[in-house]
Amino acid sequence: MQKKLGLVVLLLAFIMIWSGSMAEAKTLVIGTTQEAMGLDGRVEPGVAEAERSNTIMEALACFNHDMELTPRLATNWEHSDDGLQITFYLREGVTFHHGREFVAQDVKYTYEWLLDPENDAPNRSLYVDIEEIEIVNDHEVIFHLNQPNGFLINNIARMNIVPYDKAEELGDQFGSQPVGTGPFMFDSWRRDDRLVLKANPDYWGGAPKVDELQFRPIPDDSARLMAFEAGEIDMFQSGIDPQEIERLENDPNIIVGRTPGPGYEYVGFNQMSPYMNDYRIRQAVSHLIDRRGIVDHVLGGVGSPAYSPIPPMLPQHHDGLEPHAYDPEKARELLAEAGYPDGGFSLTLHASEQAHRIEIAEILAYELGQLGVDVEVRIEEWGAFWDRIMHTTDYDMYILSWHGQLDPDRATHRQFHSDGGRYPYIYYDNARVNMLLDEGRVVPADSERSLELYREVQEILYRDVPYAFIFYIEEIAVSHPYITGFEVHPYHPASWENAHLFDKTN
Amino acid sequence: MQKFIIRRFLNIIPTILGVSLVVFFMIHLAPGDPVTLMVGEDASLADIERIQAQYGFDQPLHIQYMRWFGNAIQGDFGMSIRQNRTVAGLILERAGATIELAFMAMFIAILISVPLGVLSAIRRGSWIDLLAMTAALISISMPRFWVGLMLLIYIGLNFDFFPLFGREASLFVGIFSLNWQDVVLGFRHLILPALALGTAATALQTRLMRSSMLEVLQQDYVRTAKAKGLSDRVVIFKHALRNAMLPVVTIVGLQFGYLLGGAVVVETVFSWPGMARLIINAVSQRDFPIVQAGTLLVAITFALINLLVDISYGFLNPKIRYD
Repeated sequence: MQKKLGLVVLLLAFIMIWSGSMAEAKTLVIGTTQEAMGLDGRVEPGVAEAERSNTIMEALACFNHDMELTPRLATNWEHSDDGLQITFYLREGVTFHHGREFVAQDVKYTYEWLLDPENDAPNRSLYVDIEEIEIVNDHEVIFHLNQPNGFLINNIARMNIVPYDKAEELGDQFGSQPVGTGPFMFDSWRRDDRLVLKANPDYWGGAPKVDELQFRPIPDDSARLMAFEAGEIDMFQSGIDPQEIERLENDPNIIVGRTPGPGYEYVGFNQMSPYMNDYRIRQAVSHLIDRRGIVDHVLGGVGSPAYSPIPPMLPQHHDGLEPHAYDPEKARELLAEAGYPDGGFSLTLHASEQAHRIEIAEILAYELGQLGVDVEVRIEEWGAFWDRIMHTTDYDMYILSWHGQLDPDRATHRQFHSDGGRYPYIYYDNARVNMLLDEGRVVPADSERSLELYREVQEILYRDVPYAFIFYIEEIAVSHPYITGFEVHPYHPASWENAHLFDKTN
Repeated sequence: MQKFIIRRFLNIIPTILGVSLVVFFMIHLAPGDPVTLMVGEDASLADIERIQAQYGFDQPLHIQYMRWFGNAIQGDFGMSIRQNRTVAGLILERAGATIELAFMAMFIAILISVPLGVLSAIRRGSWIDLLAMTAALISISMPRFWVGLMLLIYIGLNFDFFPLFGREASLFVGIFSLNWQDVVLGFRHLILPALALGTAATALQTRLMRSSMLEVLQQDYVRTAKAKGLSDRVVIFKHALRNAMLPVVTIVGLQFGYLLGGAVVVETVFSWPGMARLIINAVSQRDFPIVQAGTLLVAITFALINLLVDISYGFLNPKIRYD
């Protein structure tokens, strides 16, 4: 009996010790679907990396919630009339976390490092139009371009400026302990557990309202949602099971934020395939996709039917078209026109392991089966899938997505220009499209001509169907009502970059 | 005895060599390469080839293997391709969490299965036997991720004492350094994942303990002991249990391997920052050095634990000789 009593006392003592340590600083906890590999945006182009590092470091410009470019470390910029120069006026009185003032030399260093082929920057090709960076004074730099590029500024808005002294000192360890000008400062990082950032009291945009920001990777979707509902994490974006969305939206204690994102999912057609190189067969497949049905029933209503690669929030988006109608009869006619009135051939359809893509693949296989086309759905692990579409021609169709389509050039050139990308996944080659895309790059982005060019590109793609667009993605984030100042951002990497405005009021 | 241990120790070497060979070639022959996965859509082909050459991926596989193995036996497991850190550092950082998880799961399994198995055997056919065996059958059939999710839903969400994810402190380090705050914190985080991981092992061991005990109880020497007038308690605990433990101990060694494998699922469900998650992420990124070193470490752990099991036979049953 006495022994038992002793145990109970000991247990109580533990609990008291534990509850005594509860008083903490105000910490905002953000859940994420995956861990970042590193925090240096120069070498890590992924979303998981950018959503974290964008709270620590900043670019010259950034995108607001309407996907318009807004000043960040630059207060203003000008394109020269010939399009060969961009002058940036840098924000004054900004200091890096290690105390030194932000100056033009940091901008020059960042871009020169990026452009040096020795440094293995994976996104280097996005910046190769930069010929030279000229420092006018500490707060003014001129980017000299080797050809006009109206969309370069969008890529500049994605590249964070690193402090030249710290970047040089830390070398390839910079990504493990980054230093920037952003609202939060790196504190500690236990990979797969938590990244801890401290508020930067001297942030030029105003000191953060919370003391600490944590990123916690929780890979399992159900576990992440549970941790959120139990209040262990305050908010997270994407990775929500479609079946849960209705329940969450009806819960008064949860705020679900939704906004269309700059991306889409599609079925790609390999034009090296003897069947898929016939546009009528591609059109037939497109008419077999019940886009509304997929959005409503597979995606829980998140997303909208798609018909063009340029997302609706961009001015160059063609709003005079509409998605190919779900029309099996028309598909049958198109197959007959192509010489296959009763189908009678087989195709492969590849996808990686995401649940909704598997469902879409199965639906499409069924629909094609109804017309006598035998479709084999092959689901592969991501690395194997990626290898297949990047390095082989051994596929007829695949399902994949494009994200971060921040300007019409990024949304079309790599995808549809015959030498636009490093890998022609679909081997699409249309001389007219090539010409339009080449011109689109050099005319001013806000000109009438730019709108015309991309309008025509979208019309050709609509007819040619190198991709069958399925749906435009919609970003979705959940937060608790006690979080203020947060609004879901259409561009996921930018979601938390204004976290200094978030507050926790419980 | 010493000879036996040395011989068994030497036996481990070909095992490990075999494992390293199989793992190396399997991961390298699988489609997909780390550089393509790393650089995203915007890199140029020339850039990719240069990076591949820098890591030596342009060399023939057997050369790559020799180079890797040569470094590995000197303790140099190379650098992670994705994380720019040494593989040894990355693994050491995580190994503790996984080993703690597996040991706790095994501890719980033994704590429950041995008494329950013995009880079921001596009360054969009673309601407690029936209940224990039914529970064991159900537990064996439940997938670990499902057990994990159920624990989260029914225990984690209802009792604040059990956090839903992550790891704040090491229970073992807490115990050894007598830091009670860490012990409590470590225990709170560890208990649900350990339960999820250990359920199937508990069930299997309970069934095994019961059948083994039943068999021993029918042996002549047990009847003799009873005939001598010894009490039930002495017969069971002094005479029967030690012998009945033999098959259970064997299975504990083998189960440890399954626990390390099952940790992949449990670490994902509970966001446990362990080695299994590190390895599985490395597989999907084709971060070869981590996969190779990680699996090698798991194989060594498994081999060593089974060596311990073999040695322990002698203590349980002195009739077993090692020469």
